[in-house]
Amino acid sequence: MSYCVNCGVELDSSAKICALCSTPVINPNIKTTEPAPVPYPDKYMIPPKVRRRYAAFLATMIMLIPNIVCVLVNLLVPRGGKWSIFVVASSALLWMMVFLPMLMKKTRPFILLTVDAVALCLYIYVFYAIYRQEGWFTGLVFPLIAGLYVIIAGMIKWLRKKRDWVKIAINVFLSIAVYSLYADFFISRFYEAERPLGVSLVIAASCIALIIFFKFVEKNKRFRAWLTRKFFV
Amino acid sequence: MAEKEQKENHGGKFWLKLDNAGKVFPGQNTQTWSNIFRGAITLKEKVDPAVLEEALARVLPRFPCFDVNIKRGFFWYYFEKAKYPAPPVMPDVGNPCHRIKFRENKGFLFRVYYHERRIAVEFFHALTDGYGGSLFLCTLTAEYLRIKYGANIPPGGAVLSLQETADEFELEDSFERFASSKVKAKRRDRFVYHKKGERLPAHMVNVTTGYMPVDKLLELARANNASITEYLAAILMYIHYNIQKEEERKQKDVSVQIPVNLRRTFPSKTLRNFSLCYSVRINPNMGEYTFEEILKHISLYLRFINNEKTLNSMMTANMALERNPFMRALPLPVKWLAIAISFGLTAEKTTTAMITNLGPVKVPDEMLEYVESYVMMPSPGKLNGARVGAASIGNTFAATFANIYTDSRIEREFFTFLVKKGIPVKIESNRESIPENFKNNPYAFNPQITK
Repeated sequence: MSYCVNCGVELDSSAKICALCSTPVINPNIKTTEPAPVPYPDKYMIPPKVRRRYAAFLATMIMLIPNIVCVLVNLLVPRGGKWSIFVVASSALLWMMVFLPMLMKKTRPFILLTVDAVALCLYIYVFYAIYRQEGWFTGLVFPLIAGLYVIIAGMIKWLRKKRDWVKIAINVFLSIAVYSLYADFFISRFYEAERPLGVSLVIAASCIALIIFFKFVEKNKRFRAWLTRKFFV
Repeated sequence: MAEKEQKENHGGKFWLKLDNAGKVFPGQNTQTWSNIFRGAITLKEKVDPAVLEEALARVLPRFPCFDVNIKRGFFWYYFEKAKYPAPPVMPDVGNPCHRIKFRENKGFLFRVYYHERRIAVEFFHALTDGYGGSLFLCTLTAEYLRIKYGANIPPGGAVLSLQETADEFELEDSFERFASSKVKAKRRDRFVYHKKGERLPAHMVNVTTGYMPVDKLLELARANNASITEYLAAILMYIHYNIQKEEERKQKDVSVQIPVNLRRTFPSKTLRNFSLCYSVRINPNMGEYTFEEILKHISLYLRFINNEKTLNSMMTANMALERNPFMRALPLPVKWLAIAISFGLTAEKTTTAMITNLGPVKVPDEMLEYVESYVMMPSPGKLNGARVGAASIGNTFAATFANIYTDSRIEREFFTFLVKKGIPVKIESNRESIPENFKNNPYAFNPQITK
């Protein structure tokens, strides 16, 4: 029978430390004979994790069935054109975006982002390849997706460390401003617009105003403290 | 009620509707958390699992409302007579009250464990409340003692007679019978303070039990014009109040939730849920509180609210949701989703801590000589670090913390507060059996996976 010198509570005879304050129990009077029974066993019931990969595998198998049926029907009745391509392409895109992340053991954002970007490009390319028209894929879609990919990838890389919320806000608005200019440049070039960069300049200007505001917040500690106090959720 | 259902059943399988309080719990169930509480009796000698199994098989038919599996109906969940005769009697685990799955444990919604001198039963809250659980556990233990030692334990108190069968009043939904108020109590719950901390990994919980003599504790509470529940709730609130003050933040309300056994107010002998929760709160922005002020606040508030009329109006408010024809007509998945979402958004956000006191568990004197203590462990919280379950048997009072955070500050302050007041406290915990590096990979340690 030992007492914790720190808390003053009596401890279980098996205790080596106090359960309340972790102070070691040293009682020179008690000779170590056989170990006393512990109050709780060191065996745990840890239930198995949700079988996410198994569920994804099942879903994949189930998704395959309508696809195979569509392809077979399309091959047997070729009169309606190659419509099964759209079904297969849409299913493939869905699979890449939803089920592939579930099948991966560990979340790898860069690989997933790359796969998603490529899948999206390929998906749109299927339509482009079928209705060939004036190079809109290379002139418009590809640069838009590539730009978005670069910006999101950069953001993920930057957010891997814990960042201050003000810096996050600044970077988000900066990304929006840059991307709107970038997108507008390609859109106006493709459509040969008379006044290029009209809309995006408005967006960029509002973003820059917000960036300046947040820069001020970042610098001015007292103002920031006031804001935190005022908008405390 | 139950008998009426049985007659309408035309000899089909025995089935029961979930009671009013129990209806929400299946919806709150997740992969990592369930609303489960545990009752445990420590005997004076080691438990024999084979005898316990025999006792369980004899006792279970007396409790038809526990001898059930949960099933999905189109509109509601319901209980149906269990497929198997009895759940397995299992060696205890280091993480009590881990989540329940309706298909595990042979479909039973309670689990029976043994460890050294302890018999423990964990109940899914949809089945019953702490009081109903204590009746089952005491009857089971009495039968165990009869078989093992030939003890002559007469029925009485929490030990039910096995010669009788359950009558309809034991299986009824007492909420339905007693909720008759013309007024529905309004709930005005604001979000309150929660102590922050580093969480244990999923499925893990720190259990700390403090044993103390009832007479000394009662003397201390009486000296302060309070009951034991009020006194312990006041300590809990005082600790949280002080911790929040140290944090130097916007001061939120501090509230303690206290479930109350309605069988004390209404003449019900149901074995199923029949309790309500009310919470007491203080607003630290009103000024500095001393412990005595908090104690007075809690004890006066509880005595003010604890009357038949107020409780009835609270019950009626809960029943109104169930009686609402629109709610009833929603299919089960919609109800389930609504409960899951609302619980996910508001779970425990209106309570800082919880204390449930089962009070004295009365068993016959012939049984008392074999029994050392009764431990009531509440379900681990989702946000609350301090959820306390208390019960006493004989002269041993046991207060048990279920804490999902790694630090033990609240437990420590709670028990040292009592030590300083001259109450001898003996501590027992599972903290030591949790290895230090458990957090990194819980699956590396004895993964006992049940199917």
